[in-house]
Amino acid sequence: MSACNLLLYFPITPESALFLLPLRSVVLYERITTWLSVAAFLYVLKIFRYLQLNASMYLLWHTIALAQFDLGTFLLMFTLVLIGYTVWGTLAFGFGSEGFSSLGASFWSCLDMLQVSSY
Amino acid sequence: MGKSDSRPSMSKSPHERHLQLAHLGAEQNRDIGGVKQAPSDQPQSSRHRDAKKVVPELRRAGTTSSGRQWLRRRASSFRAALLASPVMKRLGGWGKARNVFRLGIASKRKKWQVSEVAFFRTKKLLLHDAIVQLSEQRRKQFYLELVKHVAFLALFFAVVVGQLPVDQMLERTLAVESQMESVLEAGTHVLQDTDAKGAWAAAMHLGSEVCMLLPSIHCTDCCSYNDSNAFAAYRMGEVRIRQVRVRPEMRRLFDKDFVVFPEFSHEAEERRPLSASGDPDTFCMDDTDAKSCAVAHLFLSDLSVLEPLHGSWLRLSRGRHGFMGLASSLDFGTGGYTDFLCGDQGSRPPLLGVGTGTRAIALEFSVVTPATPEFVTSVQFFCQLEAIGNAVCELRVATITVPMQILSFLFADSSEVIGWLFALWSVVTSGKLICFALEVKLLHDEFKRIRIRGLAKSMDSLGWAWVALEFARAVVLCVVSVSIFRFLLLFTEVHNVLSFGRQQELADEEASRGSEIIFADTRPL
Repeated sequence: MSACNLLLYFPITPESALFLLPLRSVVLYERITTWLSVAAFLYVLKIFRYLQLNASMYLLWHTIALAQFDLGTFLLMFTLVLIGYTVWGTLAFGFGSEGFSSLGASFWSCLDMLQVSSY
Repeated sequence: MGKSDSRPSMSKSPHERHLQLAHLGAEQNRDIGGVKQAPSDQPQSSRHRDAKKVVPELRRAGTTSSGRQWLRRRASSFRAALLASPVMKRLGGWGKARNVFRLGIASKRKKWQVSEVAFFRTKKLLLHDAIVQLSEQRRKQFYLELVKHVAFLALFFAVVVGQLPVDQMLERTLAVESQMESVLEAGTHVLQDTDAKGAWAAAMHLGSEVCMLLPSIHCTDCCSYNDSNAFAAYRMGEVRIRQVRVRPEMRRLFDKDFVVFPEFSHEAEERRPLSASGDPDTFCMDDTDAKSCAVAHLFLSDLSVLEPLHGSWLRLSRGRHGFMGLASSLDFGTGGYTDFLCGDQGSRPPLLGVGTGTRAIALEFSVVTPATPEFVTSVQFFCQLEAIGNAVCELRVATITVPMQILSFLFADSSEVIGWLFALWSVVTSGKLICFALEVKLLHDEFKRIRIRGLAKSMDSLGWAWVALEFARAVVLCVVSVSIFRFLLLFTEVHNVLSFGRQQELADEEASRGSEIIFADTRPL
């Protein structure tokens, strides 16, 4: 049954079509604004590249560059430990707590626990 | 001739003078090597005489160094060594000759080394100048890129982000929530209720309350609102309630067959017309039955041409896990068994209640205020009914800005206002297009640079961060472009629906007059 035949049963007036528009576009609208926010963040981040013309900024950037492997190693170890706790939490508490009911939820719950003030 | 008379006298004849000079040279050469030599009376050439005197001394010394010392004293250049070499060959043997040759070559090599050092020193200076020029050029290019990027940022924030009045949208949302607090209370109350029938009852109650609280606004009513009503909220269109269902399946358990309704998925979604017999889980089986009983119970998908391209209800599924237990999202689409609550029901039978196969209930309506016509608040009450029996409900109130054409269609019949809105919209759209083109150009330049330098060289030190940033920018640009394209498609479809509705109205008018039906597009958006 085509859309036109359905429209014979439910004649869509301009009012109906207009009220459908915001309802249907809310998700797309939010998606666009979300990605635009990501784009804005990336655009601002790129300014750091040009700030290397400044000696102090270059020194800071060079320091980070020198420390990148150490930082990466630390991040890897941190992630491994967090994944271990995630699996542990899922298997130990997942049957009774919604926050640990899946691996994804458990991961975010463990990450939230690092904020001591929230507990 | 005594030692005191050793200097040649100018008064002697040339021949005598020549002999005296030759004698003097012989006397002087006699001291070489600290050994006195017997003077010879026979007149000889100086070269022959020197060689004849020196070679025995070299033979006695037996070392190359003495020969080299002699040559350093006697031969001031490589040419002299070459001249001496035939004599050395004849008198001293091949070893001495070889030493002489080596000495010449060493001298020549030293000259080459000196010239090479000078050459490279010059080249180094030239290279230094070139590096300074190149770094200066790169610095200028860097500054130019910075200016370009800042210009792009200014345009981006002015045209794209600046056109999103986020704070006003939030205030608008809060205002609608506070205005409908009593109505939404029932909806929010059911969020704790985990029963399917409770969710259905709450949705129906919410819909009827909204119908009573919010008057409907029509496109043609724009001039009849007075100032006191300009700040009131109006319902745009009707309140729509719909349910999403799944097809029944036969499953066998302990040698018994059961009819079960699975979890929601696109493959399991039910689209057959429902029966009006009162049982929400029975269906009209043939076309005749469908026409008679299923007017209100047809599967209806608004804006169906683009489904599932346009925005539909997406939510993280509970109870369905994807890869490695991570939650997957479910798209409930925009279709379902639909009814409008506030309109004239007429001959349409009411929509049946929830059945075992119902997997989602949605109540949707839009709210506008004439004082702020650029905002439309969308209220959606959505309950997912899971196969295990509970309901997960969610109430979402969100405000969006609608494009100028729709506003002009809604609230402005004056051609002047429409023209002004269109001009503003054109400026904003042009700015967005320029922003998009600039971003594409900047990305193109960056990738061109990466291609010229090579990917591996571009990723040294922390260069990988910039390469990753460029790729992320490209991905974000693609996603935003696709989303905007889908947004435009949605508007195109609304335009088509509106055109179709107008054609239908025209056709009805013409039919009522009894004249020939003429389809015409009366008013383009």
